Formats: sequence, C-alpha cells, structure tokens
Amino acid sequence: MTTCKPTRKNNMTELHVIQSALEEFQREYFNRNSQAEENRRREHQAATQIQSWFRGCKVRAYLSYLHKKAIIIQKIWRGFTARARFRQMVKAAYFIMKMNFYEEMAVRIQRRWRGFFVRKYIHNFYARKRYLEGLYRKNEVVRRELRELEELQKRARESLEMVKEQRAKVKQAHHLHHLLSTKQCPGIFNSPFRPDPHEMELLLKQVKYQAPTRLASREEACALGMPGQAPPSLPGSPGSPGIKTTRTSNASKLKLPPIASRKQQDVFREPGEVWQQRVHCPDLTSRLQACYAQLEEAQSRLRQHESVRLRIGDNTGIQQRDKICTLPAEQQQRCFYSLGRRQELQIADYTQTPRGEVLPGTMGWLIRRLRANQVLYTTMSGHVCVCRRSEHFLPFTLD
Amino acid sequence: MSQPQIIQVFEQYQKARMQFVQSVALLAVRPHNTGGLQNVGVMALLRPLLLDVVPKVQQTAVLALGRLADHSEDLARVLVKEDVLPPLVHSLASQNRFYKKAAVFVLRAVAKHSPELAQAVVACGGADALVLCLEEFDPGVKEAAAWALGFIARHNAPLAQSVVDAGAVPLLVLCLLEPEIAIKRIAASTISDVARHTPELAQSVVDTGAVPHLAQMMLNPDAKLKRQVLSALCQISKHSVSLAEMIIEADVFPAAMSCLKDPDVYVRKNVTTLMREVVKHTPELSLMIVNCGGVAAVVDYLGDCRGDLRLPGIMMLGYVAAHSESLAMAVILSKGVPQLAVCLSEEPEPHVKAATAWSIGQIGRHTPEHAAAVTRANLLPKLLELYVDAASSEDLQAKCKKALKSVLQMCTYLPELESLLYDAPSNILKHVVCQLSKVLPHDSKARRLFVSSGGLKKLQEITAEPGSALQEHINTINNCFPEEIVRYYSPGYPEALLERVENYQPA
Repeated sequence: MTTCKPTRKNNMTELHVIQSALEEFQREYFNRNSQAEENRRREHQAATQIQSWFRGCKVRAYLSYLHKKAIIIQKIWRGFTARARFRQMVKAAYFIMKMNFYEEMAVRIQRRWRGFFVRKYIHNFYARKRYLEGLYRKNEVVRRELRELEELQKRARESLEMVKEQRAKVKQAHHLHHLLSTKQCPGIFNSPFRPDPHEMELLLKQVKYQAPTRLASREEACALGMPGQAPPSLPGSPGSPGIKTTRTSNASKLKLPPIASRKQQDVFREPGEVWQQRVHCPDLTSRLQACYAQLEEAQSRLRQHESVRLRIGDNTGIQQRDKICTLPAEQQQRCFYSLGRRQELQIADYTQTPRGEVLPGTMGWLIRRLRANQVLYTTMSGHVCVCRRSEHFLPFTLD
Repeated sequence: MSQPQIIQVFEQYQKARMQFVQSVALLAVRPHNTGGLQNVGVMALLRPLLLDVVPKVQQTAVLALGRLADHSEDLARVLVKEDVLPPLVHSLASQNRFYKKAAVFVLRAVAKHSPELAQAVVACGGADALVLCLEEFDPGVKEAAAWALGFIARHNAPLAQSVVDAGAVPLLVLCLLEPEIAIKRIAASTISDVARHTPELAQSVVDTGAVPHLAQMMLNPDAKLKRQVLSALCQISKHSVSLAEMIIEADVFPAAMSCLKDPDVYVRKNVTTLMREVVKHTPELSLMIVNCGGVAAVVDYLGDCRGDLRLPGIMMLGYVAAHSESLAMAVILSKGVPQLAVCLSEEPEPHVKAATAWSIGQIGRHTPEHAAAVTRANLLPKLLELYVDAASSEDLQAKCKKALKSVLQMCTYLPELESLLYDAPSNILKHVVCQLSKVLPHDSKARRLFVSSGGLKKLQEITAEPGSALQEHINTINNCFPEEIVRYYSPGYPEALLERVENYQPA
C-alpha cells in the first residue's frame, strides 16, 4: 500500500498492480502458511531436540562444574581429616612405643628387684641350705636325745624290776625260813652232793626270821562285790579306757601302826622350837601399835604436805586441783569400790550433814562420780560426803 | 508265836534275799551266764529288790543289774523299757556312796551300748545326776560318774552336747587335779570323748582351761593316763587352727616328743596322732613341729612299730610335706622317704599302704629335687606295681595313681622314666612320655643314652591314638632325633627295607 500516488490512471493501474500484488501476496501468504503448517511439527521437534541438547549441555556443564567443586571440597576435607588422623595415629604409636619402652624398663627394674628380694629374703639359697643343715643337726640331736632317754627309761625300768625281784626273793625267803639248814641237818637248799650251797641258802641265812603277823580276815567283804570288782570283766569292752577302778580294798593291805601306842609322840617339843617360842614376842594388834592421836597427826601431816603442793601447783589452775581431788592411787580407789554397799549406807547417813566447804588443803579420795557435777568423796578423816563441783576456787564444795 | 520266832523268820528271809542277790551278782560276772539268767526272768525278780528295805540288798541288786546290762544290749534295753532308770537316777541324790557307785555303774552299762540307750539315760536326767555325782567326795563315785559320762558323750555330738550342758566339763577338769591316778585317767578320757565331736564342744572344753592341766599331766609316769591325756589333746586339736594353736601355746611340743620313746605303744601312737592333728592345719604349725625335730622323731617311730600304729606317723609325714616344698625337703632330709618305702613294702594292710602312697605323692610333687629323692628310694616301680596289681583295693589304686602322677610330673631322672616306659599302662605312660619330651630336646647326652638303652625303640612301639596328648609327646620326642634313626627303630622297618630291595630295579 505504500505506492498509492495521486494520478488516477496511474492510480488504476497502480490499483490493479496493487490488487494483483495483493492476490499474489495472499496466495503467497496462504502457501507459506500451509507450508509452514506442514513443517510445523517437524520444526517443532527439531527445535525441541536442539533445545534439549542445549539444555543438556548446559546442565552437564553445570553438573561437571559442581562435581569438580565437590571433588575439590572433598579432597581438601579428606586431606584434612586424614592428616588429623595420621597425626593422632602417630601420637598413639609414639605413646605406645613410649609405654612399651617404659614397661620394658619397669620390667627390667622389677626383675632385678624381685630377683634380689626373693634371693635375699624368700628363697635365699644359703639361708635355706643353712636351715636344712641346721634341721639335719637338730634331727640328729633329737634322735640322740630320744635314744638316750629311752636308754635311761629302760635302765630305770630294769632296776625297778630288779628291786622288785629281789624283794620277792626276800619275801619268799621269809616264807621259806624253815628250810634253813641247821648244824645237824642240812636243808634242801644245802645239798651235801653239791660243791657249794644254793644261793637261796645264802639268802635264807641273811634273812632274819620274823614271826608271822596274823592278818585279819580281810576278805570278808569280798563276797559283796562292789562295782570295784566289776571292771576286771570289762577290759575287752570296745574302746574302754582300760582302766581299773581304784580299789578300796587296797587300803586294807596297808599295815597301819597300832593306834594305842601314843608313846611315839614326844612329850617335848624340839629345842629350836622352844627357843623360838621364848624369844618370840607376839605381834601387837594394829590397835595396840597405833598411838591414839595417830589419826589427827596423820591429817595434819597430810594437810601440811598438801598445802605445800598446792602452793607449788597453784598457777596451773583448776585441772590441777581436779587431779588433786582424784589424786590417790588407783588401788585405793579400787579398794573403795570394793567396799560397795557398806559405803552406800554411810552416804545415806552423811547426806544430812550441814553444808560446808572442803578446806583448801583437805586431801580426799574420790569414791565414785554420782552425776556430772557431783562426786562421792571421802576425806582423810573418814567422812564420806557428796561434793558439788563449783566454778571458782575449789574443785568441789561439800554438801 | 513268840517274838524271837518272829524275828527268826524275818532274819531267815533277809538272809535268803541277801544270798539270792549276791549269787545273782556273782553269776552275772560271767558274760555267758546272762542268757540263762534272762531266761529264768531275773529282771522281774531283781526289780522289787531294788526297793528292798535292807540297803545292802538294794545295792547288790543294783550291782547285779549293772553287770547284766553291761554284758548284753538286750538286757540294757529291757532296763530302759521297764523304767528302771528314773528311780535309780532319783535315788542317786539320797543314797550312800556304795549305792551311788552301783547305780552309776548301771547307767554306764546302759549308756555304753548304743546312742539310743545313752539318749534314754540322758532323757531320764542321768547326765545331771552324774554331774552331781562328780561333786561327790568319794573318789570311787567320782570315777564311776566320769566314766559313765564318757560313755554317754562318746556316741555322738548331741549326747556330748547334753553332757556339756549338764555342766560336766569344769568338774571333769577338777577331777584331773585329783590325786588318784584312776580318776585322772577317766576324766581325761571323758574329756577326749566330749571334745572329739565338734569344734564347739572342743572349744567348750578349752574354755574351762583343761589344756594346761592336760599338758602338765602328759609327763606323768603312768602310761594309761598318758594315753588318755594325749588322746584328749589330739581330739581337741583336730578341729581347728585356733584350737591347735591353743595346744601349742600350752608348751606341749618339745615335751611330748619324749613320749615317742615310751614303752607303751598306744602312748606313742597317741603322741604321733597328736602331732598329725596339729600339723595338718597350717604350714606354720608344721614348721614349728619340724623345727623341734618332730619329723625325725616320727620317722624313728615308724621304724619301731608295725601295722596300724604306723598310720598316724605316715599321715603326719604326708601332711607336713603337703604344706610347702621346704617342709617336704625337711621330711626328705629327716630320712622320711626310705622309711616310707619300708612301710610300703612291709605293711600288708591296704589302707596303710594307701596312706603311705599318698604321703609319698605329697613329698614328691614339689620340685624335681623332691621327685629325685622319691625315685632314688626306688618307689616309682613299687607304686606302679601296686597300681597295676588287681588285688589292691580301689582306694589304694587311686592313691597310687595320684602319687605316681604327681611325682612323675616333676621327675627328670631319665633312667627311672625309661624303666617305667616298659610296663606302665597308658594313663601313666602319658606322664612318663610327657616328661621325656620335656627333657630330651635339651640334653644331647640323654638323647644318645635314650637311643642306646632302647628307649626310642620302645617308644616307637607305643600305639597312641592320633591327636591324643600321648601322640603329641611322642612326636615331640621323635622330632629331636634324625629321621633315619626314628625309622630304623620303628616296628615295621625290616619289612619295609626288604620291600625296597624287592622293588629296586638295578640300572
């Protein structure tokens, strides 16, 4: 439409040209459109392909970029951690090495020490050897001593046997005294056909004849068997101690001196005894020995003594005085404790006593503590009283 | 009737009763009469006589009863069943000493048979009554009462406890101080009966201070008293360490050893038992005994006696040796091993042999030195023989095996080990070969000797299960010899050689 100029003819041709051009154009347009319509799908696909490729490229490039970065991060991190771990490992290995070394050294020291210690004190070879030698010697000594002891015992037994035998022989000789040979007639032990008489004959000669003593019929009680007679039937009983009962009948065999002869007792005492009796001055009883003023004297003496002591220990304070109050020896205290009941009676009497004070020098014995601040107390003069402990000067006041 | 006639009748009756009781009492003395007497109903006749008006008849009847009960358990049971005991026990307090003695005798006779009968005596207040009798002045009564208490306490711990509860022990200790030897003996024996059961009972005895008195009496010249005293001491000491120490503290020890040479065998045995009981507790106590030469004395004692008397001595050596190696060395040094070897060969009794084997095992198990001492006494073959012998008892076999094993595990003396290779059964052989396998790799001379004496050959003949310990030990030994030698001594070697000759193709 751009070529529309004012000349009519021209205009008409121009119009015609224009119209043909328009048609041309329309046709062209239509063709193109249809062509375009035909190609559209293909082109679209191609375009998509192109796009997809491009986009793919882009994303891949991005991804590979990311990968690269990630690898960088990873390698740095991994390197970092690995280095840290390596450092740790080295440290640990070094530590272990050190520990091993220390332990080895410790073992070395312990080995030396233990070896030394054990050799010296526990398995001391020489001490053990000495001990065993000592033991050997000791064993020898013991063996010898036991042998000697046995020998001794045996000899003692034998001598006892011999004595017994001899006594039996003598007793027999007593019984056989009538077989002694006389001047006229040889006895049976003195056979004329023998070169020398039998030893019994000699014994018979030695033994002095004794008239037989008439023994009382001592067996009368035997029929009545006391249990004393039972045991002989028991010796086989299992595990019985094999013990015979004491026999009361043994006593009857003992020959006692006749009771009637009081002659044997001497009328006079021994000269030494008589002399003792003359010289001896009988002990005075304690009452006689003591002076009547003794108690007072003792008290005053004690008071003096005590005042001196107090003066010396004055500045040491109350504790010292406490001590003085409980001063007497423990034995004395114990003695008082043992008196027990009787004193309690005395206390009952003395609780009534008027209130007073213990003099500074008075010496006394603590009997027992009644309460926290009260004690039972006895003065030297023998008064028993209950004392209360006061704060000031005196340890106890007299109730 | 006139008065004299009446009296005559009564006198006659009394005489007859008296005669009857006396003759029954006399008859009852013989054990073989009891059956006859029982058959004619003696119990029924004696029983009313227990309540007779004449004390002498009463007392003789009691005596007869006591004798009867003493001989037969049946009669004792009948006595318990017919309730004869309670009146007897009650009358103990009131009657005279002769009656008391007889009645206590009855109690003893009943109590001695069985725990049940003793329990019956205790149940009717017998223990308390007996303790009252212990306080009696008369020594005979005291003695009888102590004896009866001993019989009661002997049976078991509860009965002994009831005796202790009745307060008998302090009185028994007082009885120990009596001048009469017989009472001392009985008191010591009763104390030993009480103390034997449990540590508590022994402790209650010790608490009354019996030990110093007992220790003092140990040197009394009377053999029977010594026996009882020593047995009491060992019954006390056997329970615990503290009690044994109590005995040691009473200075029993060097003194007691002089009793080892006593003429009385039972005194010797009891001393040895006492030593055994003391020694078994701790190494310290053993050391104390060893140091005062006790082991040598016991070894000498073993030489002096025979049979069962040896048993405590043998066990004492074993206990001492079991504690430690130095103590075992002390036993060896005191020539204990040869003595034990003598015991092992002399004693016929299996239990003594078993104890000996045990002691030998205890001595030899500590070090090679100890084992060498045992082997030098040539004990291993003997033990092996006893172990293999089918006639020996099971216990003996077990003990022998244990001893062999413990000694062999320490033994390094090769000739002895080799000799055992030939006739030991496999379970012993194991230990022998094990020892060989330990020694041979380190000793070239021994290897040479081993081959030349034929030990290797014998070793190859042993068939062991593959994989067993024995096979392993054999392999260890084989490894320390050249292969040809081993093959040369293997059983099938000549055949193998011949086969090789056959297969050989000359070139």
